[in-house]
Order: sequence, then C-alpha cells, then structure tokens
Amino acid sequence: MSELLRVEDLSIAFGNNQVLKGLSFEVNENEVLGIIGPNGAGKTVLLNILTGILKPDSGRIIYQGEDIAKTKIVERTYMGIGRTFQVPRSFEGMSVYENVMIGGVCGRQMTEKEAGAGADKILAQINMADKRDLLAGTLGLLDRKRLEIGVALASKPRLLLIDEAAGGLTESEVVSIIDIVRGAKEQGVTIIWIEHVLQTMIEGTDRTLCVAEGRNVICGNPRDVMDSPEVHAVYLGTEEDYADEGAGADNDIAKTGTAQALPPQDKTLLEISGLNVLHGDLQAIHDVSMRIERGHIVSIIGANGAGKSTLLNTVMGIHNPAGGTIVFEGDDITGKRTSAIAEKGLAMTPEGSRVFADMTVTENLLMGAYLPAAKKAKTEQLEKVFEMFPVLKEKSEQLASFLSGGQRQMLSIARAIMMNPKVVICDEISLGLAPVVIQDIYAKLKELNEQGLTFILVEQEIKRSLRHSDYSYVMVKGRIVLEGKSSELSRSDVSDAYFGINRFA
Amino acid sequence: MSSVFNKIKDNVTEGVRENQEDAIKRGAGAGKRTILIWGIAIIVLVTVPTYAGDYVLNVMILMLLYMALGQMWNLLGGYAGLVSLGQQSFIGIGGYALAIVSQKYGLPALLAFGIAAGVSVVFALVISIPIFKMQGVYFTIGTWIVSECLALWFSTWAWANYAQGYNITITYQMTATHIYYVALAIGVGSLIVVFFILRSRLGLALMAMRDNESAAEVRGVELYRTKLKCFLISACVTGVAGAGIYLQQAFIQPTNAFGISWTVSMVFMVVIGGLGTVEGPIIGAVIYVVLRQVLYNFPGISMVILGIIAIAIILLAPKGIMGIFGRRVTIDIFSVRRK
Repeated sequence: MSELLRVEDLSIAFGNNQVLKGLSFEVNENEVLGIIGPNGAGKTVLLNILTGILKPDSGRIIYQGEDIAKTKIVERTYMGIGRTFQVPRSFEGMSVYENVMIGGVCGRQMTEKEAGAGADKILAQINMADKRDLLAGTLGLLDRKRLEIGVALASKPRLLLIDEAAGGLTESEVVSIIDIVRGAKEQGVTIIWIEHVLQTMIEGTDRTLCVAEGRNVICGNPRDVMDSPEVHAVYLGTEEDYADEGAGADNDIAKTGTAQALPPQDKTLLEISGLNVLHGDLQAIHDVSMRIERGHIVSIIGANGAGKSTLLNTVMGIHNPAGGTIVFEGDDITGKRTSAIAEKGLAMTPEGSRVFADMTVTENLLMGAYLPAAKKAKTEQLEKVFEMFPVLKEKSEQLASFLSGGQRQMLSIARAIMMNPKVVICDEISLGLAPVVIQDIYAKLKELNEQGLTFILVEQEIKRSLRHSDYSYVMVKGRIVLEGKSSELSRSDVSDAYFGINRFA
Repeated sequence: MSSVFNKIKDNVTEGVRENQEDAIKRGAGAGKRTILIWGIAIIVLVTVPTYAGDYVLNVMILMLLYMALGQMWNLLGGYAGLVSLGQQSFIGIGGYALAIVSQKYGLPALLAFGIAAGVSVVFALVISIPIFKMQGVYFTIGTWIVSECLALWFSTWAWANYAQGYNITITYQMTATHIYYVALAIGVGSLIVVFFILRSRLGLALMAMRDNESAAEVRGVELYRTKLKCFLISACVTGVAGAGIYLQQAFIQPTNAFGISWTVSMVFMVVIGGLGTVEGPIIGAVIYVVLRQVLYNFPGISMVILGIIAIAIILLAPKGIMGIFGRRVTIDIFSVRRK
C-alpha cells in the first residue's frame, strides 16, 4: 500500500494555548484511520488544517507526494480532499438532491447533468433516495449526518475526513453510518475518521490513532489501541499523575461527619429528578436524577458528548428541559431565568474559563458581583477573594488577556465566588492546563470546600475526579450509568462504564 | 410531559414534511400550469397601457423598476452575503449616462442604456479591488463611502454640470406608455437574469453560499469569484434600471442620484418580501410602491409609518412575507429547484 497523506510535526497555537504540539502520522491509500482523543486534544483543529481553513505554525502536510501547506481551501477540494462537519452544515434551503449536486458541480467542476446522475447514485448509497426532494432543513440528525457524507462523496474525494459522524446517534443509527463509511472504502476512498463513539473505531477503522494534548499517543490496531494502558491513561489518568496531589480520603471522612449532623431536609442542597433535555432532534439528557448534598464535592464524569455541559446549562437555566424537575433548597427552579437562578446562590465557571479578556482582573471580579445582593458586599468580598487568590491581587490592574491559562481559571472561580454562592459548578476546570497548575487549582477548591462551599465538578478524567470528590456520577450518552461514593467506586468500574467495553467486547 | 412534547414536535416535523411532499407532487404537474400562469402574466403586463390610465401606468413603472433594483440587491445581500449600502452608485451612473448622452450630446436614449450597463460594470470592477478586501460591516460601509464620494465628485465636475445636474427633456417627448414598456423590459429582464443565474451552476453555488458560506467553500465554491460575478451582474442591471428611473423622473442631481435612500428602499423591499428568494423582491416592490403612494397623503410622518411597518414585519415574519407562506404554498412559477 502506498502512502496518500503524511503529516509531519504539525504545530499550531491560539494565543497562549498550544493546541497541536508536533503531531505526526501517515495514512495509506484506501485505509480507514480512526483518530480518538479527549476533548481539547486538537482533533477538529487538525481537520481544519488539513482542509486549509487554518494555517499551521509549523510542520508539513504531504498529500500525494506534494507539500500542500500553501494551497487554498477550494484547491484542496479540487485535489480530492473532502470532509464532513461535526455539526452537520447542510444547505438547509436546498433539497437533498441539490445538496449532493453541490459536491459534483462545485467540488469537481462537473456539468449539472453529470453531477445529477452521480447524485442519484450517492443518494442510493447513503440510503436517502426516498428523501431526494425534501429540503435539507427538514431532516433529522441521522439524515443530516448521512447527507454530510453524501455531499462530501459527491466531490469524488480520494481522502475523506469525517468529523464525528456518529456523535449523538443511537446504536442502530451508528451501525448505518459505519456501513456507509465501509461502502466508501470499498470504492477506494481513503478515510480519516475522528470519533468519540469508540465502538465505531473498532468496527469501522483499520488503524486507530490516539491523540492527546496535541501529540500522538499511540497508533495501531483499533482493539489494541483501545485496550492499551496509554489510552486508558489519557482518558482516566495514571497513578503517577496524581501522586503528589495529596490524598483526599482523610478530609472526606471529616466532612461527611459534619454533613450527617444536619437534619436530612437541610442536607440536600440540589435535587434533580427525571430530567430530560432535547437539542432539536437529539435527546442530550435521558431521565437523569441526582442529589447534591450540602458541603460536598460532587463530580460528574463522562466523555465528550455525554451530556455533562448540557446538564449544567440546564441547571443554570440556559437550556429548558423537556421534562423533570430541578429543586434548589426546596424551591423548584426548573426553567427559571438564569439570573434568577444565580441569585439563589448557584454560580458557574464555564468551560474554557471565559474571562472578559479586555477588562482588568478587578473589573472581571466586580462583574461577578453584578447581582444586587452581591453588589452591596462587593468590597468585603473582593478583599476576601484577593486573600484567597494572592496571584490575582498581584495582577489586579492587568488585563485578563495577559493571564496564563491557570490564572484565568483561578479568576473564573474567584469571579464565581464574588457573588457569595452556595454552590459553584465548575465545567472542566483542568482542561488544557499543566499538571502543576491543576494541582494548585484543586488545592484551592479543597480550601474553599472546607469553608463550607459546595462544588459540582465536571471532568473527563476519572481518576482525578474520584480522588477529589465525595460522590460521583458517571454519564454515558446522556444517562447516568454509575454513581456512588467516590471512595467506594473503583477505577475499573468507572472505566468499564466509560469505555462501554462490555457493549462490544 | 416529555412524551407530549415529543408528540407535538413529531406533528410539526411531519407537517413540514407533508408540505414539502405536497409541493413536490404539485411540482410534478407544474409544467403546463407554469406556462399558463406565465402566459397570463405576460399578456396582462403587455396590455396594461390599453386599459389603464397614466396614474396606474406610472405606479406600474415604479413597481417594475424597483423590482429590478430589489432583485439585484437580493442577489448580493440575499445570496452572496454581500450587504451593500452603495447600490446607488450604479443608479447615479445609469441616470447620468442617460442625462449626458441624451441631453448633453443629443444622442439616442437607447445608447444611454448600453453605456449605463458598460460604465457600471467597469466601475464595479475597479472598486471591487479595494472593496472586496473588506469583510462584513466594513464592506457595507465601504460601498456607501464610494457612493458618497461619487456624489461629491459629480457636484464639482464641470462635465456633469456640477451640482445643478440636468433636466432630461427627452422624457417630455415620450408618453407614459413608452416609458412603461422600457420599465417592463427592465423589470422582466432582471427577473430573467436572476432566474437563469439561479438555474445555472453559479446559482447552485449561490444558494449554497446563502445557506452556509464556510461549508460552501469547503465543498469547492470559490467565494471571491462567485461574489465578484454577482457584484458585476448586480451593478450592470442596477445601472440600466437607474437610467430607466431617470427617464421617468426627468431631472437628475448628484445628491439625489447618489443618495442612500435608493438602497434603503431596496433593503426594505427585499427584507419584507423575503431575503434569498426570487419572489421576495416582487412582493416587496409591490408593497413598497403601494405604501409610498398611500403615504404621500401623510407628509411628514410617512417615513415614520414606513419604518414602523418595516419593524413590525421583521418582528412578525423574520424571513419576510415569503417566509410565512413559502411554507404552506410553493409558488411554482419561479421555481429554481432542480428535479
């Protein structure tokens, strides 16, 4: 087999954030290469570089023996590089048939007649011949995902890049996607397939590459890769990573003691029951129930797309649930406005910290005390926060854009604390940070927790979550598949639930 | 509760799908009907002067010319993603072409239409070099500034008779019927241009750009070239329509000819009619011209009323009038759908 694409030492940074750090791999003619990796590994960035949407800072892309780094987006399409998007970008005002025609007419300069004949063949191949004349805007998620592949195939690609074709689909739907990809391979197409649904890697790819933090971790036979300690370490963390983060077990016992002294009705701070959330056609949360106790650190663990962020956003009133209730301190807050929910004492640090980059650190913190009740106490609260985070005091007059990733995360937490909340919800606070920095942040959380603050942590890394929390929930595809006291959950239980090994062993 | 929600959602989805299927079934037998509707429309339009008075004729002239302007703005704003506030540049060029050719040099007016088209295209090509380097709102402001510069330049240009402009006396030698046929040719011509563009390969690329520009580029649509083609075609027809407008107005002056209110009315028509549809500018032009005629009776507050109507339509029907009823009925006569 000859080589079709070789990526050498690819690097790209966005500001402070080095997303790809010397990624290298190669794909052979007519091979299906799967790429897996946790959130933030740089997978979609890689596809954007391969299609010319982003320019790498360094590294080479050799396609059919030529360096294509300088070619434009459309030129790469003409060269035979096609792609699908993670969130389908069908042309909604055009029929399914016209969508597929675009691939031939624009991507391969065919006449409308040639493209039309080709489109009908492709519609049969993606099982959408019966939906030929429907507007793409009326299609459901599975059909849109299939159409994405169809439009890409219509431009007769030699190399097809698939960005998460199976995300959000049911298992039988995933099977139909795998069939379509296999069909494309049989026609001689070479495929790079990025996916979080790990089942597709084993059934649909010839070779799997695991990427983490912008580097290749391991590459080889899909099943071997999935079972390898390296991949488990990427998703779950290794013992060594956490050796010096301090044991949490002692504290846990002490804390559970104080919590048990309270009467039971006061113990529960937040109760979620039977929650269902829909994103258009896709059910992101299925019948989720949770109880968060006062003074606890509760972690929610799950892979990308498990519905963790959706769950948090629903609690904060950003999404409206289709069913179920959320009760905070005895009050039903389901479907309330976000500002009203925040006023009750729920604060959130969003994924990626989202500090106000063009405001100073102090201004950022004052934004946290925006609600009337918090505004009154803002001076004292500011002092308290500066005491807790000396580094922020040091930089108080600097613009937030000058802070490092870890400092931004600290600022995000401090900003949440400015409103004197009862619960702080942290969405992936360790994402993209160096281990030393993560230790600092978790040490701060522990300190705050000891002062009585309740935390809900959302994490992808199992080991870290278990170590730092009192109680854990594991989510897979929008459902809670496992829960229990963090000290009692074993890593293997969680990893089985997480990788869903049993489902396709 | 969630099951009820799902049921409602299914019903809605099903409803949309049924509409689509109905449209397709109707589409199957549409050939004969389309010809019939077109035939009737053309006969009615051609025979208007035989039974309508001058007032109706003048209103029809405005509708046809404004429709052409709306179609051309829609090509840019509705399809190519180029929100221009400078289309009045080409109206002015067209108007001045007519004034200078017929008034200054006494040449036949027909020649003026050709010159209007040619000069507009060349001018559009020249300004596209700097203007196309600007993105989004900068492009919008850039086009506007070009028009303002033209207004200043023409005001100080001896050859264009400074700010005094021209009386276009050729108009007085023509009847409303003559002008009506000119307007009819421009209006129907613009429709044919748009229709054939949308049925061509360029149209397929344009519709893809309308729906999702970044995805279109990855699918092989060359954004720069496609946008430039639209810009030139739009300039050409807008220039011709500009000449047509000043044939009716009979007086041209730089501040008026290159004023932004032309483009404001184009945007109004297209947005209330339906952005990115062929029918939108037609409906928009009819509504706009009728409203303007009615609102002449309320001087002083006419613009306020027009503004309120525009805001109300945008709030109630964000996709314009075509957006409301495009879901229930598909107008087959301008169907650019590929079967």
